[in-house]
Amino acid sequence: MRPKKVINKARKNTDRERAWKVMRAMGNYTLTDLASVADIPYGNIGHYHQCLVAAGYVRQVGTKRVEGRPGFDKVYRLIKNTGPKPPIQKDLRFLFDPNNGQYWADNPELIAEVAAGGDPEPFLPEKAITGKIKIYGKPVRLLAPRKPKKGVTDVD
Amino acid sequence: MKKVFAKTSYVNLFVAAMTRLVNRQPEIAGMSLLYGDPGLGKSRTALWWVAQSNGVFIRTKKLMSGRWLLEEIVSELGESPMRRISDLFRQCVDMLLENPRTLFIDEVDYLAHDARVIETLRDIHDTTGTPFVFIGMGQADKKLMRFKHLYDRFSEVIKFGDLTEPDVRAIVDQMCEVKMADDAIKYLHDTSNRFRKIVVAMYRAESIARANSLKEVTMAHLLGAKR
Repeated sequence: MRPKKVINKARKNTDRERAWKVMRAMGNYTLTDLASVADIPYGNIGHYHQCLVAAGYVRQVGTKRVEGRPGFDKVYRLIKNTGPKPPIQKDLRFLFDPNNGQYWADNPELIAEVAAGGDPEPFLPEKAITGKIKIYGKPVRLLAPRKPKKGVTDVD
Repeated sequence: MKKVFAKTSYVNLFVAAMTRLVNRQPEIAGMSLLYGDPGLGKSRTALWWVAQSNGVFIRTKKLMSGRWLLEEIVSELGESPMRRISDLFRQCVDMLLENPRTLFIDEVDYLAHDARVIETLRDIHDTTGTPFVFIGMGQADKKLMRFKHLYDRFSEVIKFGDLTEPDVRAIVDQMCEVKMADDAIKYLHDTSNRFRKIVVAMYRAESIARANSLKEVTMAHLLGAKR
């Protein structure tokens, strides 16, 4: 029998990759622009974008009045253009940038854990579920931690 | 309003041209030019296509030299640029031969004054066969016509113009959540054939329909709302 190889499934042209491409090329943009041009669901881009804003990649530069309907649209601009690869959101408030290999997290314990050589993924969801997390004052429901897949690292 | 990218006739033209460009015969040159007045959605269309496909989008700058452009291309392709300009060119060619990707050069008018830069792009195209798409402003075709060898290689030239009535109909059908009657479309086309104005009218039509529980909005409704 041939040995099973550990394959890292490289997902190509994901929603967030497209959004990152468009963000880099556009100057000022609103989330509506991003959702339509990058062809990505509004909810998905909302979650990703919130994390990018918190990590300081994106800054709100103003608001735009939209004629014909009430309210404003927030206008953003990418201020930390680190490279062509999109930053990976590993948790609600935890980001990894493959362009420069840097991590960003809301609590410094996480970064210490990563710096100590620990793998942040298995312990993160449990930790997150113990405390109620609030983002911009609103409580957020977290998904249950993923069970490790069987037979992924097996080599026979 | 649905948050989708509306496909007008110009977008369809562009998509058809891109498909031909990617699946072209090897003897056909793979360069194309996309130009038109500002505000018609050229860059946005190109960006939409780049996001869907495996393209590279490069926005040129007025001060750009050949080295800067090559550095930009190499770093967009995902490697750190080399120091010497000959190495840089070789690196760029190697990467494109290994992994062919369409290159989109935005604001190509900026490069038109410098023959060295623009002919470098032609060199890259000739050595690798990578498709190039130049995006320029209103007079871009005339500016690039000076470079005969380059202009000869444009197999697709697309001009973006004002929206026609079927375009307005297509935008409304794809983006608006209520139906609009034919007279309303005609009114929209006659009064404002810019995309931003149509967006305003669509928001207005939606609020009218919501307030009056209408299924279709006509010109009379739109005019009534204006007063």
